[in-house]
Amino acid sequence: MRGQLAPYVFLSPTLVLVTLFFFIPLVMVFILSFTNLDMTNFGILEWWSPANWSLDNYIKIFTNRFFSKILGNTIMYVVLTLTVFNVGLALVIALITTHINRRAGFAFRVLWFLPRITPVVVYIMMWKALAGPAPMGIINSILGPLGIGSGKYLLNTNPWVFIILANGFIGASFGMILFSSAIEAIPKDYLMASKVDGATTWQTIRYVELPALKWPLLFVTTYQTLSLLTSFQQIMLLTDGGPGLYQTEVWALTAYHRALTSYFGNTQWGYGAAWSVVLVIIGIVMAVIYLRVFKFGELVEEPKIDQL
Amino acid sequence: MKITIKALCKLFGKVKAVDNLALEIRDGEFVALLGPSGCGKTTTLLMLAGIYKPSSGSIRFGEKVINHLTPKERNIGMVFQSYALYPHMTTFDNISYPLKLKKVHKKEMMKRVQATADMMGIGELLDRKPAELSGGQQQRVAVARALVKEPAILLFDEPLSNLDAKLRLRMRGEIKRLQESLGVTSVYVTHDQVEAMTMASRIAVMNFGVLQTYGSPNQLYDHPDTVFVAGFIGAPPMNFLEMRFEERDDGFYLGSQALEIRIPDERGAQAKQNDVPQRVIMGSRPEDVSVVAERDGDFKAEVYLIEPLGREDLVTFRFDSEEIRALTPAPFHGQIGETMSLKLDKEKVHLFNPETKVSVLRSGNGGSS
Repeated sequence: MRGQLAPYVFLSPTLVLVTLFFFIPLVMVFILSFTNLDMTNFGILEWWSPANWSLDNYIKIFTNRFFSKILGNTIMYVVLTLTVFNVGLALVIALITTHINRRAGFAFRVLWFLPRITPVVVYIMMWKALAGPAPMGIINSILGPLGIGSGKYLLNTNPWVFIILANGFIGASFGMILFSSAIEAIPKDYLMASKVDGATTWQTIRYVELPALKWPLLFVTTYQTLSLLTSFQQIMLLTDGGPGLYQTEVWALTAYHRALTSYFGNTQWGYGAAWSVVLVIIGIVMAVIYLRVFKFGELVEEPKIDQL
Repeated sequence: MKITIKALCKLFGKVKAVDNLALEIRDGEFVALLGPSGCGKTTTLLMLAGIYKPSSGSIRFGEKVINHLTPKERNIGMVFQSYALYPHMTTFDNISYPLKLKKVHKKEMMKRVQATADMMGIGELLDRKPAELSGGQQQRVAVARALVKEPAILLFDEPLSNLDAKLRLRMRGEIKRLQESLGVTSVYVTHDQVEAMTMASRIAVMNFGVLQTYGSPNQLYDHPDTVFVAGFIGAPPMNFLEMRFEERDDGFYLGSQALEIRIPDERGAQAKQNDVPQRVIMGSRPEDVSVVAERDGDFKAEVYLIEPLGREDLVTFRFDSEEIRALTPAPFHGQIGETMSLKLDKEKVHLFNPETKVSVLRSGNGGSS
């Protein structure tokens, strides 16, 4: 009996934490998304009662006149940051730093990793200092004397460039670490064999190394898609969806704005929850598509040795 | 393609992996680089392949120095111990890879891959991935991939180490026959002296990055240049005993507390000519030690261990805190602890200088290069 109980005893702390802070809130958000709970009716509305549930929030989302703007912003933000930085640049850095002197490569990766461990507010303040208007902004004070640019606040003139750069610089370090360790784990014999077979370095990368990165590529792409879909802190701190109306507002930021800021004098918890639920569904659909596209089943298939 | 290696050195930091190596491999020859692990044989092979750049010295293919050519420009094929088959490619893709890189026309490529695969007996397995092949099949794919571009030189890096004993024996014969029929100059790295002896036309024995000796299997077996070579080549290994060398009026003698033997005059004279020291290391192979009747014996020893090998029994004898092993016809008639008379074949006694560990029976400056 004691032996059977032991696993549950060891699991219980985590089970309690995950239940309290993940599963219960998840269910609550899902229920809330069908109610119109907000600051004004808090304590009055019986949000747990099915009588108060409706699809109104979801209708509101899809009929919102900024719906297409927000969806478009989200797609552009996720696709550009993911392809150019989180996967693309990560792969390029990983390949370069694993094909140069080992120590130099390692040092470069350590440097590139620094923004990830810098507090996000400090990190965004640095970008704001870069983007500031002339004569304070670093970029403007360099470009100004050269006669380039208008000297205006760059977050107002080119907000997307800064949002994608600020996110991409951090985002790339995740894939960089995974890809470079995966590249270094490729048996050296494959690389030697490829060279002896007559391949150039580029051909070896193309035909031998990249195929070996299929699994980390799938993982980084999936993980970073979900991560980018739900990330809004950098955007909130940089532009807070501005400078124009909804100009850089993405889905996750909308959910935050609706649910937790009193832009219109109240915080619409139910409506915000509905935005979040749709985002979660989008995330799940994306993950399933990735697994299909990358043929996850084949990646984990058992070998079929039938004779020795 | 003839290979000429001159004064070749390879340093890793301060470690000399290959030290002043000189070697000449004739066109079409099958040469084995033999030595214990860490002796520099694989480093030498990788320099031939162009993976490592030599620190100094030169490598010539034919008359051309190829030190700084990339592997791509060397026209070599190589078989690795791990086979190094690309796991995501089918057998066909693996074998055709060198041709694809050479941009060989598709039709020609199909033909050559099929022909090479058929020759290796894997023509039916072209659509399988390496994980779906047995060790022996993977080995054949690896050889096929090395052969398909018709290289001028074939390099083997312990290709049989990962196979089980029976398959290893078979692949040993197949590779040897294949090399003979194709006539491709081949360099074969191994730590297994039986493999080297059976396959190679000449063997280069290396130790600590230094070439010990270079010669045909029989030459190395019958006239080893150094104690290392004598002990490394041949299984079970040669017996070594420390002896006194004496020249008397009637001939040359080797003596110790337990035994005294007279060695043939020509051996003694040769040793004398090579400035043999007072004390020498005498080497005698187990098959040259025989159990005889008491009156014919050179010395007596006690049976310590009997190891039946089937056709013969390997018997370890002890005398005077020394050990000597003898290969005797099976079955061995003797008990552990029994004292028996032993005789050495004096025609096949080897003598080495205990300081330099070099043979004192070498004629002129022959043997080692």
